[in-house]
Amino acid sequence: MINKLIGFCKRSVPLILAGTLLYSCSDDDSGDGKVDFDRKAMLENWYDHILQPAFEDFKNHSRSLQMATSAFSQNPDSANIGVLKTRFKEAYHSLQRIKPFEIGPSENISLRASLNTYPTDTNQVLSNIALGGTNLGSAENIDAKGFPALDYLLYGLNVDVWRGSQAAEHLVYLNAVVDEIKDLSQQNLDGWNAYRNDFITASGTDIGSSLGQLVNAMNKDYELIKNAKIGFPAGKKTLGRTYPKASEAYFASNLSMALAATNCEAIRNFYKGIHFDGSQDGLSLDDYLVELGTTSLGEPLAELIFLRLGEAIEDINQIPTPFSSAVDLHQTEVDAAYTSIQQNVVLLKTELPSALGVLITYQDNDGD
Amino acid sequence: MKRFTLTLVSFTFLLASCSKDDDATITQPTINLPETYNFENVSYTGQENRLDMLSEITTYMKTANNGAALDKTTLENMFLNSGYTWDNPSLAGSTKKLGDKVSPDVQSSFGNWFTAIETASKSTTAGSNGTAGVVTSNSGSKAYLFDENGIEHIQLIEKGAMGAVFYYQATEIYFGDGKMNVDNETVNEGKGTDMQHHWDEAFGYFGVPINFASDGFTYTSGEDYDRFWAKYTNGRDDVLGLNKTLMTSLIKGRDAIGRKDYEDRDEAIAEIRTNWEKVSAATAIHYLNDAKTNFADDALRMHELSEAYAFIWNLKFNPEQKLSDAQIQNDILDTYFTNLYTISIADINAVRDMLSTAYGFDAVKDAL
Repeated sequence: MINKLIGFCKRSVPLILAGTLLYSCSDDDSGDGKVDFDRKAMLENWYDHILQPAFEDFKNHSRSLQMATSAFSQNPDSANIGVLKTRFKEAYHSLQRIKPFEIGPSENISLRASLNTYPTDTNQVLSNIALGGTNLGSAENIDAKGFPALDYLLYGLNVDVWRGSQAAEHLVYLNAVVDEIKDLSQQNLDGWNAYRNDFITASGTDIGSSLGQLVNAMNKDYELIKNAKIGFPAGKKTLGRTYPKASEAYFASNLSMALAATNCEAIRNFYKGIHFDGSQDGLSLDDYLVELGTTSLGEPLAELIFLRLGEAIEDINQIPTPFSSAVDLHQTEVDAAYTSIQQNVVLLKTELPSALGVLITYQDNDGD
Repeated sequence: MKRFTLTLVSFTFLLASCSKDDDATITQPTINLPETYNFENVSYTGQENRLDMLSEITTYMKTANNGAALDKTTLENMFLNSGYTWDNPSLAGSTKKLGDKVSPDVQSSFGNWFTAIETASKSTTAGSNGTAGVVTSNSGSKAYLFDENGIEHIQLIEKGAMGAVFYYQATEIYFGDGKMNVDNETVNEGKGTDMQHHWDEAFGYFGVPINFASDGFTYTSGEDYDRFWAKYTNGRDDVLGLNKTLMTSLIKGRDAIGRKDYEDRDEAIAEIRTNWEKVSAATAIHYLNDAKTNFADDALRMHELSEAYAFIWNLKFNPEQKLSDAQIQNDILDTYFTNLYTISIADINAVRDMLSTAYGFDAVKDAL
């Protein structure tokens, strides 16, 4: 993962230089906010090449997860649980690539909270398994389902439960959780497939515009990386008292920071306009900032944000696994990543929206 | 600083465009209206008294959030201003009471809620599904008292009185025939004509300063007026722009009465009824959105849903109400708000969609 990221950064250098050139060409426009930037084309790039493919990808991974769950339910052997765990990880990574875009159809079904509220309530999970007939929609079960519940079911339980006298109840619950993930991923995709026109037409900078909403959504998600994925388990909100079990994917143990890195990478790629398949760098926020000629402490803001996001990803990847131990044993690395992420908040949440004329309207919350 | 100015400019532009839309639906008066509610012989101390009483009742009720047991008789005495000594010195000797101004349709509700909150406040354990008691938010920063179904009666009582007393008295009683079809010739010193006085009393229940929404007025949190309808109208102003719209109608109606132009007066009444109702509906949607955002946090979710409950309940108290009492009570409140511990995202969305369809908020429901 680290090599892949560094390699990516190297390949990106020409892009950055190109950005700098553009910037120097347009300095006449700096600051007045009235530049010739095609916001609609940016929205089209976002929808066609980043958001929609990401939602499609998540639906596909959720479907694969469901198929692996079926196979495992038929034959709960070690080979099938191995495949299931792999599908779980792939789908969990895929979720990280869509969670910065929780607006419109995704916001409507509260996708992120429904699928990724952690830490999971293991007692609630066990009680639901024992009682059967669970209504997963109930607010009581918000922390007993989705990926965190799967993390517990697949990595936190003794593997014998899938073959013992309670196997049937466990399989019923596993399937219910996976089915809901699959259903929500499909609902989300269907919603977005019908949303293209609305999304692209809302091309202003007001509160309801796609730009306004996505800048808010991206920031909100970025702060979740800082607070929920790292800050809270590492005791940043609790006078240094750590909460290892509050880590995302606590039971799979070596997944936490890999997910955080994927999440951060998704935000960086979105910011840069990089297509979901990685093939091209299209119009996005960085190009907009270049066009505006915005600077921060004398440096071009467009470039600064991109570099800082890259640093944050690298620092996240420097944290030794498992993260739940690192919060106590490797505080230097954890603090470095936390600081690295935090440094970017003011750029993303204050300077970027201010340059674009977008209002930040969401309120900071503590967790997913 | 420059960036800050840019943000302000775009923000102002947004507000301007919102109120422009709303103005378009209002017939412009042919004469120049005063900028503020600055007329001769205006008095509404009775309304100010009742607002102050509700503030003090709310303060008393909120002691239950810290574990205090509430006394139903004390609440009744406050509500009926009978044998209770107010902390607020301006209420000393006041003969006004909230209790005799409640809409006759819901006379029994407040008594029932006083009983319910007394019972809940005597709980000695933390609240949970099926057990009344205080529930603390995930971050530990907020605590609210709920009944066994997660209903926070403080919200029903406080916000319910805003509806069943303030809003009801203004839009149904003072703007009704009984109070508008009265003498408009004899000027009483300090109070104007009977008709003028009734209009001023309706204005008093709205609870805003006389220069509300005028040029140069800035709404400031923590000021005496920062409560009840002033607070919630202003809270939705970014999206709806109704501060100015409502204020203009209130000024227009009072001015029309002075000119004995009853067509203009009645037009103002219709505008106020429509737009005041929108504030309540939009505030309900706002809290439903918040409840989705904080879905995984029992205390915040149930607190916000209790707010939404009250603002939906309030939609009953206006002769031009858009939804029928049966729709409000049976189809919404009794269907979806039966247990806030087990409500689902789909339930919240169903309520939100009913409201946004009825009030034409589909385009802005996400932003509210």
